[in-house]
Amino acid sequence: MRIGTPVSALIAFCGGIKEPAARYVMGGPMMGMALRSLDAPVVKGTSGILALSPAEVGEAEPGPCIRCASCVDACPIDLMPLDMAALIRAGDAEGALAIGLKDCIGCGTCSYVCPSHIPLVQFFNHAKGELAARERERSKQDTIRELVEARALRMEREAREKAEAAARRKAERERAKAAAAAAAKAAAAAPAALATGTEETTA
Amino acid sequence: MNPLTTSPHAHGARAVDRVMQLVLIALAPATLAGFWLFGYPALYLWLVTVLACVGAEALCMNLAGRPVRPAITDGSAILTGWLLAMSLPPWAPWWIGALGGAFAIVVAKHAFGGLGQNLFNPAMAARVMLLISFPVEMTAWLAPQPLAADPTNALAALAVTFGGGLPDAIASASLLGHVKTEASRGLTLAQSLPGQWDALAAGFGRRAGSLGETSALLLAAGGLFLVLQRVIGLRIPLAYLAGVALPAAIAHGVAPDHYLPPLVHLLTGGVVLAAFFIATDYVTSPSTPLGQWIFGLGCGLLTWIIRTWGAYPEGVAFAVLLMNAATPLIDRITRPRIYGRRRDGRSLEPARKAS
Repeated sequence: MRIGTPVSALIAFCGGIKEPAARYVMGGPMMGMALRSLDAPVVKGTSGILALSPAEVGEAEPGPCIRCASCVDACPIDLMPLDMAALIRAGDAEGALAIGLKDCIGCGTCSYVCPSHIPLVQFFNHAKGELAARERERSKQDTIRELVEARALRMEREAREKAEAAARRKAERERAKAAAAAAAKAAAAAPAALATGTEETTA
Repeated sequence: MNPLTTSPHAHGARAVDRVMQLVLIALAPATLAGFWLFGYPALYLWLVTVLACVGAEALCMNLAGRPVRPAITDGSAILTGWLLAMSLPPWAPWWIGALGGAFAIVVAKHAFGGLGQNLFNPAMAARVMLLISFPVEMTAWLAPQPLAADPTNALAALAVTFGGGLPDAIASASLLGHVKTEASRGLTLAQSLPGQWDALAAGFGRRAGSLGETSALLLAAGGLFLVLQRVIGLRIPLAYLAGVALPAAIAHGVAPDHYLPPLVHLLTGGVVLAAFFIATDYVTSPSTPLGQWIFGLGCGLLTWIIRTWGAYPEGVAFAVLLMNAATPLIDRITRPRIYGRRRDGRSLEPARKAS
């Protein structure tokens, strides 16, 4: 199959949908991406297309966390998803980072086992994005500050160079003027001697 | 299609209400045994307590402007009331159950933010409040009065629950209370225990005690059902039983005249109920595997210490509340080692290849 084939064409080729699907997913059920439109093309990493029935999706309203620790038992990295999600919910992404947010591999097992249907992995992806955005913002500000400082240095250097050049030119002019004056003086003296000479020769 | 859908696109867990239903199912045999042993007053008290909890839950959710129906149907309020009723003297007057149920839900649960937010086990907090405020009603034990027995028919029983409570004539001491009283009179166990203690009867619940905590074997069976259903783990129950039995065995081995044998500790009072149903409460127990061992052992040890040297004959509720208070700390210091990191959070050194 060619890259770029629309998903709808792929589904039609496979014989179409037998019962209405609640959700189309590109990839696997745990980490795949929900498709918003069947016009999406097959891309290089596409492993499969899922058409999930409502029962398979098992969607439900999230309830309060009852701290059953199913997510702690399930996490392959041995994180504490319930605590991380509570911190992120309270707006403390740094606190979640301190207890291992960056080690989360986003596998979605915690969300899968949660009896309260809390979208735990979504919290973590959100917080990771938030932290990345903050990091980008910070590095952007750092870059801007560096550029501003560099510009100030450059302006200073240019002003200094300009001043030095001006001073140099002024000195040169002075020197030229002095040389000219000396030459004039010499010239003034020389004609006198010349005059005397001529006087003598004429005398 | 809902645009806000994220992975995973499947869901595998039992919902909260199903979990609560399984716990209620596991409690049912021991509760029915309690009704059988203590007659209609026990049934009425249980009903009043559960209804008080459900009513208080509905009221609190309504006041908070949150949806009432899901909070009632998830079964958590029923479970709180049920557990509280199990820990009450079976012939206590109705207002004990009503007041305790309301306290459990309003003060111990919703004042902290509702389901999942409470620091203390609501049923045990209510039991301790009742025990401290109404010591007479809360220690009015009686020997089992089978459901079929004469003074306990349905109508006469109404007079017990909604009237004067336990008639003095049939009051009886619980084993732990009896031993404590005799010890304060200077009698050793060898003098006070014989005739009071029969392991088989205690296992089946034929002893004076709370409504639902007497039949240790049925409670243990319900607990094992929950373990097999993977609703609870074995860590907290095992640690709790070990926390009671080990120090009891050591102390009894050293001074059998002063310290009760471990089997007496396990089969009296509320140890089995607490180990399988109360200490395992998700909200108020640690979430980490190591933390759950520490929590269970701490509950057991404190139970034994309070029973042995405390002013109260029974220490289960106090022990559970004390360990509840320590739970956030335990969770914090027993956080599991993250894969690929050391316990302190530094990453592991990459292994050097042998050259």
